Amino acid sequence: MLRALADDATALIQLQDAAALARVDAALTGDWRAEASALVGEAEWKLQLVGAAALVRGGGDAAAIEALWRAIDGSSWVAPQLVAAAFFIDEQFAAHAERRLLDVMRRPPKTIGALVRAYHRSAASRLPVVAQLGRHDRTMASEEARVGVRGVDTWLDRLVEPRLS
Amino acid sequence: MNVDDLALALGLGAARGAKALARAVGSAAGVDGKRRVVALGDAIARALEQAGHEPLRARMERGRLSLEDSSADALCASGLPDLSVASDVLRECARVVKSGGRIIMATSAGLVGRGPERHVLTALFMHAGLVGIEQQLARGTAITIGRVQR
Repeated sequence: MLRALADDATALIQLQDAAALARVDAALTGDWRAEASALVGEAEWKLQLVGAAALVRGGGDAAAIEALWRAIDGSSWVAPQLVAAAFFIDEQFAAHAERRLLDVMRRPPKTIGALVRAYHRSAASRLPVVAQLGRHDRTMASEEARVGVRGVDTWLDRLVEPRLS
Repeated sequence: MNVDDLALALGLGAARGAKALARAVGSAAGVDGKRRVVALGDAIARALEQAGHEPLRARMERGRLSLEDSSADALCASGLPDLSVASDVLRECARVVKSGGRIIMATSAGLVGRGPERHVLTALFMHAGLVGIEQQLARGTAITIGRVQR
């Protein structure tokens, strides 16, 4: 049961606790993907984070991708980690991020920071869109946006730690 | 680039990382002993033979490999096609590998032969439905491994 791992959520923020990730891997049994999607849709950030960690470890599906974007739009405290999870499991990540970065809806600076950073790091980012991201410059200068940048970088860089041989 | 250009894009016959790929077949979790491994390239096939595996030489034509579904224990390739079609290529590679088998791909890494960033490779593998992504770095080559899951 993934839900039982909520106490591991703090360890999952930085993806540095191998034991916590191992417990997530061990819980990927039965109809775990449906449970992970449901957890991402919860209001509690710890449950959202466990759900996102499960999806990046075991892979997502259309329902999971939809749940992730709905949670990102819902101003989650762990928006950077949810954005990183969407980056990994959503093949249309760049298009979905573009839509949110260019629309007129107000979003928390942490979410904007995470989306801008992940979009820049996507292989599918487009120069005409990048040129329009200047509209977020003031937001990106805020400390909360920088938290979003660091959060998304941490997950993008640490999900798979390379072994040197 | 479209999927028909993949023979070139995959660098068929390229030697980059051939020995590292062959080693990775043996070191990937859950894979030991002699295995039937699809080799996209002669250099990779030779390296697999030397490592004691059974290479299945294959070509990608019109976006398809000339092999049945789930006909191999693993697949090794060197290079990555244009990122716009890479997930389609990886999905086709996964088609011919048994559930639980590995897709193992060598790409350039490092300052001189800079290849795709690690997080981009991870995302491409996951977009193709591969899980349990692992990466190894050796002498300017990044070896990315993903497990086929059905």
